[in-house]
Amino acid sequence: MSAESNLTLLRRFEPIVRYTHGEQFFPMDVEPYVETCGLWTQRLGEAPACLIPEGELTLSKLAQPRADGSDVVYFLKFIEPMNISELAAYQIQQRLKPKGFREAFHAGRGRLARVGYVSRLVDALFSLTLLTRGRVPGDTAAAAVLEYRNILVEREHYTYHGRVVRQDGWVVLQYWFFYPFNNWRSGFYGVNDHEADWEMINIYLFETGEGEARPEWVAYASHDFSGDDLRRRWDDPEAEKVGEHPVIYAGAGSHASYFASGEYLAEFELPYLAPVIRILDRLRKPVQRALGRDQEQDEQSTDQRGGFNIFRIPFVDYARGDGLAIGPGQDKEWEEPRLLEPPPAWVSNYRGLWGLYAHDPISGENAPAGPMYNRDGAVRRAWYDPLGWAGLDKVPPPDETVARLQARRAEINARRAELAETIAQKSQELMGLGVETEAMRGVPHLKKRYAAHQKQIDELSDELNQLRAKFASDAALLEAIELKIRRLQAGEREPARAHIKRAHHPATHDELRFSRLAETWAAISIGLMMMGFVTLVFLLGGNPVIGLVALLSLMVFIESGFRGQLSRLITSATIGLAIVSSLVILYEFFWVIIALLVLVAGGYIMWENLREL
Amino acid sequence: MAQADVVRDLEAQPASEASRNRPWAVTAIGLLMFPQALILLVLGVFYFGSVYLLDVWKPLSTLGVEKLYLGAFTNMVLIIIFISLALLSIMAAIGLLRLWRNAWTNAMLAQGLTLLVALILYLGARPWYIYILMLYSVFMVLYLNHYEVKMAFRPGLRVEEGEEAHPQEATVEISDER
Repeated sequence: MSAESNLTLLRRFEPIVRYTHGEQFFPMDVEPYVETCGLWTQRLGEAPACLIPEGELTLSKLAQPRADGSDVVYFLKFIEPMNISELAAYQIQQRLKPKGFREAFHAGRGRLARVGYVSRLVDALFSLTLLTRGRVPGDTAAAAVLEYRNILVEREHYTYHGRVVRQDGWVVLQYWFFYPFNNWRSGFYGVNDHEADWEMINIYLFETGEGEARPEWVAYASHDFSGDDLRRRWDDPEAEKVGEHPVIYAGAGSHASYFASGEYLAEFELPYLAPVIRILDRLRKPVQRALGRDQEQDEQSTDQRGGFNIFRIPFVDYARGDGLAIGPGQDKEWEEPRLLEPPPAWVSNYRGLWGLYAHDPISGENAPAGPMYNRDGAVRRAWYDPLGWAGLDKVPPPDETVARLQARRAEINARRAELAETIAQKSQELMGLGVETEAMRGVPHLKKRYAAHQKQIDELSDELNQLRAKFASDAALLEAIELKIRRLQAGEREPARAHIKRAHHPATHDELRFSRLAETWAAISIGLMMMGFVTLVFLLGGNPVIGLVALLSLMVFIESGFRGQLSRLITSATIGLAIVSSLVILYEFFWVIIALLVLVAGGYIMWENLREL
Repeated sequence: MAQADVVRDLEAQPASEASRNRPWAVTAIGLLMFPQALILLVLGVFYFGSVYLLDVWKPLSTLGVEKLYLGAFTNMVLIIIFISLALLSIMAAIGLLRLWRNAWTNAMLAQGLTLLVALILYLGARPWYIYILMLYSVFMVLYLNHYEVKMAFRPGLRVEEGEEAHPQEATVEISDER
């Protein structure tokens, strides 16, 4: 299809993006961004070197192939960090400026109040490590704001980059949003800051017999979800739309895309804690089962379960949608999009990072690569397999489903016919063997042959059993397929959310309902614990254990009170104490217990035997 | 009928009505808490005697109970602990028999505190009665976690006889994707 028709399709379904108060970066065209950047390289063990200084870089220069070896990282550098006086002047200016309705951001209920001590401790350590990791300096975010505003002053525009891909009967509209900066950490108490940010959503259309393009699915890229969980059917109430335009709620600073407005608790996993996290995840279910809490856990949503992995760090993504809205009929309209199909040279040839390479071993502060590539240079799955990325590789377009089911039905029928023949043949063989074996029974000189026949009978019987089981199973499958075909032909549809295993929901009003006291406690608890620990060690000298246990117990007790989990704490602690006490009794009275058990067993056996007489 | 109303109604029921709705397992465990309370009360009184009623206590020492004397300060602490635990156990027992909402948690708390005290004494002087307390409490903890007992106190599933639970009361709320 021509570029013009692709453009028409993209514009017809272009999304509406709603931002949060205080958001400072919006989707822009890559060209003015690149023209503001310099191109740099970083070799292992060397200082970064500037290849093309800022102001001289263009998209065509960026697209030039380079072959400097596998240990080179290419990256764009958007801005120079401010010096102290510039930063001070900027911050004073910000404070004096009256904040407009859309610029004001107020964090909601503290994220730390929603999780337990270990998560808060890990969070505190994470904050400390920012000092030692290659964190993007806080002044970079401020400089990025100024630079972005200069770009907008030259030409205010809001643009996306679009792509139309045809795959297995589907038409995929891919919308890429490029932001000059991600200030989730410095602006909204999130995980990270980094230059440049690429976000993406897909709309999946199918073409009807009349040639009409009809949307069926929409999928938003997300931090912690993949496959089927990313997509919503077009008629799903959660997939909000204005006419034919899906509505995206963008996370403040992170620009992640959400279906519903709200505050999302996200968990960030530190790479070096991954083995511990995996073990804890695996242990959680058996422990919950032992405590009789597995049913309670199943009844709660993923977000409600108190079992956030304690070694994951909680952060809040504020996707409130109460700020600027961009899209058809909104505060701002989209400009004509830039097409990415066929991929322009700056997409396919440039595999480097689109912003500062911050040397962050956790990669949270490093800029992303472009729409086509991951940071390691591998092609993104969302690029080469947009269907599989959202779990749609196994789903045919709706107008093909009945035909495919009918084809499968025919295949299964053919298979059953073959199976029936084979079963009949083997059945005859088995009966023949059976009567032969009967004839040999009790004949001494045919003993060996008799044994061999028996073995053959067993093997053939097993084989026949499996064939008959498959035949019966295929019959049931055919029945299910028939029923499905009839239902589809009658116009019935599966529930829109049947494919979702884990949905991400914003925090509920109850979850956000923490008292000011609880929030304050969450904020100071870790610091207090550390100070208390040091104080106890100094006061109690060489034997602080009891004091530390008492301190920890007190803090756990207070925490449970705030979180309404006192009952759970009491239950868990009591069960733990009961286990320890049982072990103590077993240890102290081991032989007495053994003797008693033997006596009881002996008495029971006697009683049972006497009852028979 | 809202969950709170069901619970309030159950709590407001006269004892005879509550007993009609009470599973036998809950009755048994409620009654079993009384002997435990008695043991704790006896220990409390014993230690009270060892501190304040020496004329009564001294003759008992001929029976070999002087080993239970753990020091004046410790004994005074134990008086408070055992009397408090006895009262808590009695409250929990009454709550179990009356099917009060927090009775199960209180009963678990009583067992937990008893076990904690017994374990602390085990790490110290190890008076012989701690093993009896431990054994009894472990048994009570197991029984409290019996399915029938737990279900009788689970919010949303406590209903009057003959009534079905109102859908809104149930804690089970499974949507198709959760």
